Amino acid sequence: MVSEVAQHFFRAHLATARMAAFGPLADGPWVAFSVAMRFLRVLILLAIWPTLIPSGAVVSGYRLGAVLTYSLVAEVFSAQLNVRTPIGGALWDGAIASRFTWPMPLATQYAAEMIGDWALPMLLVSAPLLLLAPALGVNPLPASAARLALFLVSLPLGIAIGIAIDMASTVLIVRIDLGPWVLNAARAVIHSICSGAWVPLALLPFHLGTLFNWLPFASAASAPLRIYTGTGDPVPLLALQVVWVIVLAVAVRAAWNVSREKVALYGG
Amino acid sequence: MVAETLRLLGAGARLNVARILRTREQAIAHTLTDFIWHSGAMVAPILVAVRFGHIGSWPVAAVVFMLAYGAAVSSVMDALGDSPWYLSQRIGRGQLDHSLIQPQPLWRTLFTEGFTPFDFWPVLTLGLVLMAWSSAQLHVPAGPGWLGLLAFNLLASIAVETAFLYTWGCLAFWAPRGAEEVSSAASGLIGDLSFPLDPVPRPLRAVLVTAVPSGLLSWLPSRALLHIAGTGALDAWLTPLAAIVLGAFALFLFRLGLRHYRRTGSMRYTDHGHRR
Repeated sequence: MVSEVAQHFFRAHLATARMAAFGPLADGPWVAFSVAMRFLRVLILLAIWPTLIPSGAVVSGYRLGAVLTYSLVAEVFSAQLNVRTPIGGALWDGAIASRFTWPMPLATQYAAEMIGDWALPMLLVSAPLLLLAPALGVNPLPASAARLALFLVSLPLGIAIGIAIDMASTVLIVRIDLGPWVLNAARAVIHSICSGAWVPLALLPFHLGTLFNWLPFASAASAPLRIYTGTGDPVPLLALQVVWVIVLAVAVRAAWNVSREKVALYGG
Repeated sequence: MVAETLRLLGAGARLNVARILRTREQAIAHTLTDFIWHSGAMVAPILVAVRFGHIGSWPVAAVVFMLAYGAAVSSVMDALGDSPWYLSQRIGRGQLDHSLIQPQPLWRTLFTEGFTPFDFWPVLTLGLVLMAWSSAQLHVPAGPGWLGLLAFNLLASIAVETAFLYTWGCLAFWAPRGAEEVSSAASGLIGDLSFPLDPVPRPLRAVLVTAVPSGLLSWLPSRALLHIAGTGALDAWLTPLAAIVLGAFALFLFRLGLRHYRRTGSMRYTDHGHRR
């Protein structure tokens, strides 16, 4: 009986992820736009760095090769380093109402959908980027095998922090009645500056990186990337990630509990 | 013709003020987040430029000018309404009919609807102030001729973005379901360009000023106006020229698509009004 329930639970989530994975293909070839956009972005960044960091020089602990690897891996895992679940949009347009009728917990539904959303970009952008990296003059390999193992621990922690930040944004949407696209835009900016997913934090001026390193945004993105490229001590980075996961999970759950009565659904 | 267009723009401005006054908290929140979005997009590249003192042959002030130019273009585009971003959606969903039945030419409806000049003034002001500051830092001789060229390029960049979005949006005339979201996808592709493109390989740069003309929204005009190393004598006229070519192409496609639409109408709904 228990195994039957577990099997049903797994199959339901797998079906949700599969629907999300193949959803973009329903739009036809237009899915190629977002793919092209990501290729353009990373190609521009890879062209910029050599003009700033001469070959052989070390800037704030980063050699040119490490920065290039950092930028490439940041693009490869961009969806995982900047987690966005569809819950904010669903809350706003009312689609969440029908989700309450699905025979699955709400949170895991959206998590499964998010993971499904990752499939196509992984296949069309991330994998080709890793394969093309040597042709682009970038070494895509981690600093060492141990670093790769630690990265595989750090990345899920980063994703968990990202989900908590996403849920905090959802609470904010409920509390201040703000459209998710407006908040998403502001989040994108904060993420691009504070998370280190775009530019390594150590390369920011005025020692801003030292401050940003302590924020959850950095634990969600910069920490796994620094572990992968061997530009940060893994132990404090992982410890801080664990602290942020616990703090954010407790805080966001409490915030949601006091805000859920304010949920109002629109849509149509 | 002009009077009626101005009257409609005035009506849009009045509605914009009324909405702000009636929903003050939301208006403040929207304006603030929009300001963070546009101004924040400038911060990361500026921080990198400050850290290294330059990006390629661009000094910090030139990078600031480029990003401020881009912010000014974005804010004016936003203030002029959202029809370019939703053209394919409106065609795909048959909502173009709502515009076609209005007792005025279609171009005027598309040009005047959604005019919200008071939502985006903080970003525009920031862009203009930063352009003034950076051009002063770079000792640009900002005479009437240069200012005229700046204004001309700003208009051209706006025209380029509009033409690009319209060109892609027109696909929905022939593929109303498949291309329904192509306008928003195209806007994601053209996006805001954050870095000077000089170090980018030549073939990629060629793509970014032609097929995906992001480079014409800030990089190329700024480079020409500031006479950055490597600028040609006629570069300041390239964006206006591109605006004319792209604009003519978009207009041709739109008219062609509209002719097709007149014959077929919206294919999204059945005779009983249900969505296919």
